[in-house]
Amino acid sequence: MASAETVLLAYDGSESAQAAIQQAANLFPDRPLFVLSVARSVAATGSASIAGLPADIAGEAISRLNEEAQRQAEALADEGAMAAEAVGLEATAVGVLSDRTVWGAIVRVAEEKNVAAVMVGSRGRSDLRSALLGSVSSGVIHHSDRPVMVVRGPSVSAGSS
Amino acid sequence: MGARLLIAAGEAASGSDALPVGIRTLIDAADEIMVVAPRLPGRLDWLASATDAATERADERLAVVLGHLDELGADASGRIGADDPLLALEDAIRAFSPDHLLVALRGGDRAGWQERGLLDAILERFDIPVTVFELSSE
Repeated sequence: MASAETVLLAYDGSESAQAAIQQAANLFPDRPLFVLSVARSVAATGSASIAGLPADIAGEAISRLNEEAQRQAEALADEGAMAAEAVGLEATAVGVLSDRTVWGAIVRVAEEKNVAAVMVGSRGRSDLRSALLGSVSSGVIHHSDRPVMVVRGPSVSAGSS
Repeated sequence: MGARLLIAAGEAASGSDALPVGIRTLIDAADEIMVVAPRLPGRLDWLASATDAATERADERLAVVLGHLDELGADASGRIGADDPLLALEDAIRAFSPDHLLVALRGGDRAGWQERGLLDAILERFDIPVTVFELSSE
């Protein structure tokens, strides 16, 4: 499955991620696409300490929460892959659970899949989360050894241009 | 598609073969290409007022990148940019109105650009897709 011909697109459902899909259709129309969505594990979000619960019960709860997060990542990746197919791309959905940062997971999957390029939106799904998710594009661009394309959504205005 | 590609040449590849495949695709897809080579004076250049040396290096870098693009069959124009890479890009974007910005860095340079906050500033400032890629230092 790994191929240097493939492009990895990180998808979180945001306007900029949707804009990235459109850009992929414009710029890489003949390349297969992995559409990746990342959910952070309970450990990564720091809520693993379910205070007061016996270890086995806490462990079971954490396991279920992680399974749910994994399902959500897969569902979001499916949504992104369908959006990509709707604009004519050949897309495969990939949902992963990350114990660490979202950008770290994107960089890792890009290496595992040996992709030709990585595409990310410049901002995340909501204004509330934008500061955090903006750091995803920054993290990927600073740490990936692949070409990284950052795409702005239509509602994000530039400071100047 | 009418894509206009602006390439910021912080570094030149050792040859057009050394360009990552994803980048060659972008170059192939572009209708018009402009290359801007910022002067990028080093600290010692400032101390020694040797900015002419920085201009010479930028000129060489620009000629190499234009040569690689020619090998790839891409017709491109080029210019030397201001000392400050952000200002150089701003000027080039104003003049060329690109659809897409490519920033070429050498592995060792990426850390320097990061330290100076240049990559984040580029992402923040310009309202077009930005692709950053690293060239091997071979």
